[in-house]
Amino acid sequence: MKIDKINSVIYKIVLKLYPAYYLEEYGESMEQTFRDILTDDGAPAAWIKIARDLPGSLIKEHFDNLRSGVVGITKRNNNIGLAVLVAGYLTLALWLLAIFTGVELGLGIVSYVIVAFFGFFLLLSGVLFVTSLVFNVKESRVSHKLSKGLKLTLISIPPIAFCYLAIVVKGLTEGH
Amino acid sequence: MLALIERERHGYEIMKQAEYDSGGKIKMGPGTLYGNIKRMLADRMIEETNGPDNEDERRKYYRLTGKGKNFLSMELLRYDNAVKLARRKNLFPEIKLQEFSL
Repeated sequence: MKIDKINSVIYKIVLKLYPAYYLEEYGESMEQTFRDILTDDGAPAAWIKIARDLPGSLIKEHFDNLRSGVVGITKRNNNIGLAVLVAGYLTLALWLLAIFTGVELGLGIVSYVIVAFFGFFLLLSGVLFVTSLVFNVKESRVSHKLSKGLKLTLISIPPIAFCYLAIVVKGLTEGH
Repeated sequence: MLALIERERHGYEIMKQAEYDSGGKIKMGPGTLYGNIKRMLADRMIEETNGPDNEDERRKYYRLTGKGKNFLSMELLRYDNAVKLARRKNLFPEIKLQEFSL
């Protein structure tokens, strides 16, 4: 029961990556569906399903969001900034989790799944970071003040930079 | 949409039914499911309902609209015609189209 609750909380955090208006409308239903999958199939199967579903649906919903113009420019930039922040710290958490499981459990399906998640979020946070920076710098220059989205983007620099640096350092040290 | 032809269902039921009907080939996650629901709602192919006898107030139920039923039957007719044509011309004999006849 407690494990299910932890999984649900993690999923709720992952959901923050979706556009705000989409979450407002379907967030609760998605959480309920996730809980149903957890109950029927168990946590590993549920997360595998989410991992397969997440990249495509995230890209599709954000693209829809940008195309439909449902939100104003400021709100959109805030949302992208928030998405960078969540993706950045989630990437750092996954990096720590990957190390922890690698040390505690050794190499196995669990650590491979976590590393795959880490890779995906590392890439996602990089792409989101650049996108957010471009949009928010533009907005800040027009309004002559730091936009909220830019502040969020700046706060997300440490975890993202750390993760990319960790990968570079690992690559260099393994190269020799 | 096929998952809603028999009765109204909530999201997870739609997901399970689509998986069952496709013999396990269609495995959706919540993101894809609700993205499709959003688009079908926008196109007025489906609509939200309270569910059978307000079974579970927390859940949103969905059912096909008249427009959705029309669209689905037209699509099925289109597929049926395509299969009939392929069978008549004996296209792709290696996949034995008669096995898939409706």
